Amino acid sequence: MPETNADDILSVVKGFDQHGYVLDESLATVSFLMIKLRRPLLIEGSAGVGKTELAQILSRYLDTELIRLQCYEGLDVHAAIYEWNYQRQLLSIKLQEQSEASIEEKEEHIFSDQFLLKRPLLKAITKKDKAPVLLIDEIDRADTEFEAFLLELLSAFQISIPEIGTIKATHTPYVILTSNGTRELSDALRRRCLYFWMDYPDREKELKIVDKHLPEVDAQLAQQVVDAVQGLRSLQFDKVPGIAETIDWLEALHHLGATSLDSDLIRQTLGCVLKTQNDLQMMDEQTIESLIA
Amino acid sequence: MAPTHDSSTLRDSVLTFCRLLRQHGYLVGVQESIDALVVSLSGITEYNQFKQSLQSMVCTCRDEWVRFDDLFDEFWFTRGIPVKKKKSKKALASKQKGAVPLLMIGSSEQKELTEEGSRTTGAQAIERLKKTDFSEIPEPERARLEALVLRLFRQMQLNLSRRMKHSHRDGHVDLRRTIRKSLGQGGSPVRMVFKKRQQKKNRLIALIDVSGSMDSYSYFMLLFIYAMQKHFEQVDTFLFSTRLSCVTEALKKKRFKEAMDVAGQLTDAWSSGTRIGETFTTFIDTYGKRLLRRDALVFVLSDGLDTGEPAELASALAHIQQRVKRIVWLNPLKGMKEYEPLARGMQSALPYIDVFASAHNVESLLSLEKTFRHV
Repeated sequence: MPETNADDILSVVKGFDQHGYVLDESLATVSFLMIKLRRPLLIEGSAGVGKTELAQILSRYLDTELIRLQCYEGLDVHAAIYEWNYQRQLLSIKLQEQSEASIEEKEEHIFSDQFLLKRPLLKAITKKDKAPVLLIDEIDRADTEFEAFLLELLSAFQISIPEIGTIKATHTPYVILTSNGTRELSDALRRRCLYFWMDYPDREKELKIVDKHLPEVDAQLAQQVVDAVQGLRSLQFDKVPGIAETIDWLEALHHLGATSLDSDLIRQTLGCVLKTQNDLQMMDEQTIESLIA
Repeated sequence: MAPTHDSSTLRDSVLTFCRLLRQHGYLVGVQESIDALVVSLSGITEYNQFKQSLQSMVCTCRDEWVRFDDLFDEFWFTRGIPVKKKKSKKALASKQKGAVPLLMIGSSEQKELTEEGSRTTGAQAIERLKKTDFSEIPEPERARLEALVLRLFRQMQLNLSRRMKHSHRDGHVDLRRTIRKSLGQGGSPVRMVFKKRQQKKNRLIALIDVSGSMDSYSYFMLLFIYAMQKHFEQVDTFLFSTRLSCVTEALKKKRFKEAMDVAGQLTDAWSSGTRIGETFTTFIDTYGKRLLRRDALVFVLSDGLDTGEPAELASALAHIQQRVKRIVWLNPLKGMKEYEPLARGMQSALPYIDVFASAHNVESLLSLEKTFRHV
């Protein structure tokens, strides 16, 4: 495959590293397989562990376009795959009124390519120059019916449009699906995908990630913040702080001119890490003290 | 380190390993086996990478993902012909045992991991389970019933969400259908087609009796509420016996087991007596202002065996009824043939209840679909 320079797992790790994403071995292996086999990859894990970012970095690494479909309840074919340009169709019908063309010809005309509005999924399989990365974000938010549409796409990489027929993929896209697990996905969908369970990073990995994003920050402060967040994750919060929260918090502290963490600073900046009233209330003096220790 | 250098031995080993996974409940079909072979021949030779590749190929959910490590190491380190090992199942079962402090039921202690054959459950068995009273379900069946119930409830909630979508004459113009229809008339949209917004969802307030007499019923009611959450704009769930505890947040956990664990920690008064009137008054004082609104549906699950003052219950219910859309009282005793609502608590509650139904088995819960649809 001339499009990729992913010859082995190590080169994938290096490539991602250059784009600022820390890949551990298991994720690197899966990414490598996904690139090589062109199988869709389903990533599950809590919010804020870097699922979406993986797709963004992958597209940069492969130097190709990222096409993103954000799922939501009620997402339908017309928002995900295609829609006809009704206004233009109406206009065209009016213009053709006087023409000699038969009804069949007229119908064929108004359902031709120029009236077709491509939504993300169709865009992804009709991309001309090279295979794009298709990110189907938070698939668990979409309805079960939508999952069924996806099955055809993910197994045969083709889409059927009643008025036109079947459109086959020009290049098989690299598909990444993410899920926060708010709904159980169907077995059929799961079986078509490679699977990866993404957990919160351990201390070493999180330090590396923080260093990638904020190289200018004092190393001691970074360590303290990472330790504190790691500690916070073990508590029962409504919204467990993710990697983005760690980075936000560290950045805030950095801008406040802090070089080491103390309880006053934590109290002032707690809003960067904990995002609900309940969670903030859980942070009493004792808990805050334990974070510094 | 490659698991082995001889490719035909490797192929056999991979296939044997796939069989082992199947025995442990993994959905490894022919396709997955082929995938696994592809990996083994793709030049990935490092032990960990080989493991991770297979892991991503054959696992389909977190549970399988977590168990995979041990299975893999056990198989590839020993390299023996795998006999059906009970060990990891037992390990798993005991792990669950530790994780479930709660509910009255202790269902998971007895839960045996289902063998692969039981993924398909006989239709007759399902029908029978649906009709069995919750309190009479034998322990070994409970796990199966739970899984079945969760599926049925989800199906019901899906039915409900589908049924709301269609409409004929109000809402937005559906341009797509309009144009399609207009072709026959030379393109003039003579007949407009409409589509309607999905109805605004209701809110649900569930008050669930967890006193001793209600044990198994409240457990399944919680399961029911848990599965129906998506159907409602918002669900607030409270458990009561002599005291009231709010378990709304707990039920938002992704797995029901987890939800029950948290709920169990929040509630100290499982399975003692019941003072319904008193706890309802507490509910009104603490949450009433915020929750009791016209778009709310109130579910009470209780047998009405009240040790408190009936008058207090009556006035509390009257207060609630004036403020919400509908009160549905579910009494599992109503499932019994000769039952009449004679208990003092039940007597004083009846005038304020809009729907009085039973909730003693799966079927009765499923028949609540009507109640949901007509709100």
